[in-house]
Amino acid sequence: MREKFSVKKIALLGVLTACSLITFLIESLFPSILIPGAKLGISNVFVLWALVLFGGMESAVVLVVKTVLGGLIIGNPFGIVYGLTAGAVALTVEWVLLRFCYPKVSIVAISVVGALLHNTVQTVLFCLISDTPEFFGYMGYLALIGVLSGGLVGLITYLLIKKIPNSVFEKILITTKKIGGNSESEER
Amino acid sequence: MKKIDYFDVKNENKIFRKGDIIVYAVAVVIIAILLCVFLIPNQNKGSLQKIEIFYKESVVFSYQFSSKSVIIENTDGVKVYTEESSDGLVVRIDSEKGHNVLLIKNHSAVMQEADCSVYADCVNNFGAIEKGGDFIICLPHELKVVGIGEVDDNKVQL
Repeated sequence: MREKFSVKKIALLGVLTACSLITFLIESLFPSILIPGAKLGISNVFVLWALVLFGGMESAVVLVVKTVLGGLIIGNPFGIVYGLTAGAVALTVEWVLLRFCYPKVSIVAISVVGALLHNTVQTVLFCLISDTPEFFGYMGYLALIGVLSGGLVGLITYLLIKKIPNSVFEKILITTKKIGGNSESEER
Repeated sequence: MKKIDYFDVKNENKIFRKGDIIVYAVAVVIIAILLCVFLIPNQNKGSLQKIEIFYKESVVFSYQFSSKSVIIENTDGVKVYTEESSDGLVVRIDSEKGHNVLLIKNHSAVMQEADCSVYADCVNNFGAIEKGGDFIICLPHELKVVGIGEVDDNKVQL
């Protein structure tokens, strides 16, 4: 059996989740930009970063914990439903893009795709749950805001990956890499 | 199966790749389509004439701006009260689901209070209703406030 979650990895995931949750909470204090529910989604930087650092499963953990705890703290239970569904769709597609198309498309573009999907899925869900076809009128605007905010999130993640030196993550990632590779349980 | 490797990603990390052009082009096309499909039919909204409040699909309150007339239909499980204040007409909606306060001003309406949770979507996220077609939705209380604009079918058909 290979070790999926080492102690160091769990610690780093905890830090990422905490950062994500804090930015999510700070963001929720600001009113939305022009359209109901529209926001920048800076907290998703940490989900995308976790995806790049560890992979799909681990970033899903960050996403789920952030969305569920965030929704409970600000007291918006419906937000959890939208956030989880839209987040799951966006993250899955981002994972596929990163895994199969990565050097051909940049992190920024992957983030744009994720944000666009996230906003579209969320709008459709909101219309279905609240039974308000009127809300579809905002779809174009929300998609546009999604692309812009996705670009910003992608840019921040790009800079984080670029600027933070390898030595910071080496100790955490090299062990998991070895265990994940051919030689099992080489290092504990 | 190959895992996503951080150091490989880092080595290949560039702000722009050729494949991005396709991604951005597709995004622009999608936005353009969405804007065209959903915006053009909504352009002739007209100025605000009437405010209607729906509770579980039935109209419980309506307000005509021109005549300032109020119609309240108390159905099962919901009670609507109005009171004049210095800011405008305060509409209190008490239902089995919870309590909301809507403020109707001269040419707009805004949700002021809701007791669903600390963070109320209808108060914080939805702005004011200022023209026909605007709306405020309160999901937990199953309320929908809709602004109805001028019905100018004759003009449009020319």
